[in-house]
Amino acid sequence: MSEMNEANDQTAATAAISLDALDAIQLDALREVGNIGAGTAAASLSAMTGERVAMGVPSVKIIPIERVPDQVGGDEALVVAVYLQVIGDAPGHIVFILQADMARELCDTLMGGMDPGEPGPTGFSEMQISALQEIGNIMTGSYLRALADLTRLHLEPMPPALGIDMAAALISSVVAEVARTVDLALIIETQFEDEETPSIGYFAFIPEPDSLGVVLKGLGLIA
Amino acid sequence: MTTDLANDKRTLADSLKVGLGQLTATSDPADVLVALGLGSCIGLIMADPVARVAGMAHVMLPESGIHKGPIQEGKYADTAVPALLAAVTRLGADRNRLIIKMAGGSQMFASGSGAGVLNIGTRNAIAVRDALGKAGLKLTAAQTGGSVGRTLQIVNRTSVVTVRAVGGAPQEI
Repeated sequence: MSEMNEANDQTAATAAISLDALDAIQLDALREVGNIGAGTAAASLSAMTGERVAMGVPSVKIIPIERVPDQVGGDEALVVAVYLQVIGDAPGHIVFILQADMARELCDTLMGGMDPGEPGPTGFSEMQISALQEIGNIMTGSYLRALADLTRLHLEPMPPALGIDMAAALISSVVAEVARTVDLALIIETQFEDEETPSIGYFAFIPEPDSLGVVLKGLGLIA
Repeated sequence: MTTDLANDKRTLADSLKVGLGQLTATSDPADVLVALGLGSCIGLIMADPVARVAGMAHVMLPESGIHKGPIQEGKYADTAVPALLAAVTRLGADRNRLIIKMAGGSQMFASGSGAGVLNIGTRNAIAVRDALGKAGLKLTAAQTGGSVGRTLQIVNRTSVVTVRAVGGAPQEI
């Protein structure tokens, strides 16, 4: 016999705009934000690797904050995650996740066959880690710039932080940061893919609850 | 207590996953409780090897104080400790026989935007210890801190608790 204490879905975040109250047009606009942000990042990635990187259709989800790791999936799978805190007019969080195999391939492409050196405990060498840090900086930076241009808001990145570990461990740590003030998370997520692999990476933007109204206003959707 | 990992035919698929902020207790000896990929979160176990009762909480944050609205008890250290104690004793565990173990509380992101995240892992571990102290309970074993993700598991039949890091083998704590 087991007792479960399930996540309470009824708790709504106290915010200028309630997540439950978003209409179809607003959700569409937020999806477009994800589209343009990730599209810009994908273009940067293509430019770095010289290979075509495609994007899946972005989705906007409003889910209890505890469910975010399940959405991303992977549990114990080894991934590379870049986490970026956004400050300015609309504070929020950007997470970029790459499957470990894909990250290794990217490093090889970028380093043009150079010996990467001894792998550390995570399976990546120091040189590979700094290459990944750079990739993360460029990807998250272009995502954020697209977001700022689109909304005409002043958005600034904190220095991106890199983690290489179990997917759930990395995501849940970001989620814990957000969960201090939020019960429901709005995530705008986009999958990256190339010709062979259907899912090589994942982008999520999680605005702080008070930022949602600011973003929608920036998009001209509320007065 | 004997370690019987090799003879335990159960796989992860059979075990009860304790997700973020959840709290689960069981008196079924066949149950295995697992928290996958703990980062800054803490997996807290209370188990009674005699009564074959085991419980686990997946704690995300140190305290419930700043939170508005209804509270999910497993989510915060200060509410998870009394709630987990109540859940296992309700199933027949004796608080004097409890083994109490925890893992997690890591800093998953080394720098930059991760600075705030670091704080939560460390503070989670401290808050769980404090809450245990307040409840008059003693921690039996812990593996917290550092910068690694961990999976925490308890096999109720044996009360064996293991921790596994990425790419590593499970280690008993």
